[in-house]
Amino acid sequence: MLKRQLSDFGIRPALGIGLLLAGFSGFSFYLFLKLTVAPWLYMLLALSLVSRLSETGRNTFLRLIFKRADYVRIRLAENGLTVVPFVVFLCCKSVLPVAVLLAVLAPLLSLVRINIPAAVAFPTPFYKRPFEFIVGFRARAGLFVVAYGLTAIAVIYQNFNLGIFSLILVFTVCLSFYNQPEDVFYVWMYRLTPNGFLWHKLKTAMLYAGILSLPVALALLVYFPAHMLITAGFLLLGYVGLLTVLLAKYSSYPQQMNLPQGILLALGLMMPPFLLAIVPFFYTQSVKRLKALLG
Amino acid sequence: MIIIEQLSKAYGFRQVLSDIDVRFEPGRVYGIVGENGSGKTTLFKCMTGIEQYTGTITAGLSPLKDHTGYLQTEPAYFSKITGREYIRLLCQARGKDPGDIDGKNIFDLPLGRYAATYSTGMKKKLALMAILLQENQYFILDEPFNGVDIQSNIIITAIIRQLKQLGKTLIISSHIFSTLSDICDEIHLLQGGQFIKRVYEDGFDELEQEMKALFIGNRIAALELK
Repeated sequence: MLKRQLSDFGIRPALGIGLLLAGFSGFSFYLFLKLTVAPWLYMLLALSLVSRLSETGRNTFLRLIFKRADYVRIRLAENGLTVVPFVVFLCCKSVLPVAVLLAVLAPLLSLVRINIPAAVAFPTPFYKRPFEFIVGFRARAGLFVVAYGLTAIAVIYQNFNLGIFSLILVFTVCLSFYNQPEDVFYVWMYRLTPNGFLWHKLKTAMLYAGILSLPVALALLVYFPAHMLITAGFLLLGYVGLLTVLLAKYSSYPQQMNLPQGILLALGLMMPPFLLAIVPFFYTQSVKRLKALLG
Repeated sequence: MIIIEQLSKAYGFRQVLSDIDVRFEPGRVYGIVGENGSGKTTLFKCMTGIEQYTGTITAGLSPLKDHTGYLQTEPAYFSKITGREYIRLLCQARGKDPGDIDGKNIFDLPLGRYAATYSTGMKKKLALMAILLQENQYFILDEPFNGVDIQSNIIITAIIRQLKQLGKTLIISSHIFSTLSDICDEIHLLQGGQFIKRVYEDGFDELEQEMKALFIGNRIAALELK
């Protein structure tokens, strides 16, 4: 699946896996450098990844096509392999108790099937402007609970870096709402020009990302007033990132983002001054792409 | 009114539609029939502007897409959006207030549930309800009766008649000939990417017999059923 996704992205699987490993290592080092609670956070992250493999529909399918023993072996292998990079990194950082706990918990999770009643929809504050935030929030509500929980811990233990990490987490999750192009029908149906459509999407993204980041931002501003400028800076960065990702999505629409666009996006997010050139480029490309559907 | 002139569409070397000329008047219901792959859905996609094409399409209300309710053969739904939210999304896209959505729920759909979990027929009814609340002038309904229960079938037929009374233009495709012969003013037979026949109400029976002869022929005999 990963190989296919990388190929769709226009990248050779070997190179893609190399880049993913490099990104994973960079993220891990940064996390452990900045946060004292990094090992526990790291374990939570690994388990949340593993839990996605326990989804009922997926497991029902596997059970239908494989014998019971093969199914158990496959699920154990899946969960085990998923946490290997995390366990290795935890060992490298000499956090052995957490590494062992993760190595035990991950296979055990393969015996659990997460059965969230698919038809039950919980309300969201985003009903007025469907669809990205409604769908995204429902799909990743757990991550927002984690982010707000970390904010509370940051306030209790006066750890500003952890608070900033929560803010980054909120925006990163919001960015992920825009990683898949929607069916063309959902663009075609708008009685808007390409410019109008993009502004509508941008306004929605800004408003709703504001609602989701508000609890974290307020907590940081109230409890860490000395770092007000840094908080404001990260908020601004989050908004700019959101704007860029949204435009990047429509700059290749209805196709998925390709490699050159992905590189440009990554460059812009890592070195924000480049965004001054990248954002207008994505905007122009988006208008061009949307013209075919919106006229 | 919608006027289509010299409309052609090809995917690479494969010609799907060739020189389509047709006119759709207000207050009339048009049926499009043809085998699978004859180009019905492609024609609809060209009319809506979802697919690029050569030729011209002109309409009384322009741009056509902003006044068209398009019911797809298989409406695509997001995984975690409820029926009510779906209707709001489609109405919002056209700048319309859906009003009391629950009060207008004539199909008794479970609007609080995720639309993606609906049955085929329920998905169709939800999509139809949404485009009706958009208050369109033109309706392109690709297989509106597919998978729909008999009660809803009757309701959809009544809705189509009501829309006709209101002076709307309706273009409908269906694989069930009787549903079209009940509601259409004209039926166009699409074959090999071209309209090969246009029939008015008084010729529907004859068309049905011709289609049976054309599509069945001696194919059943070839099965050598025992």
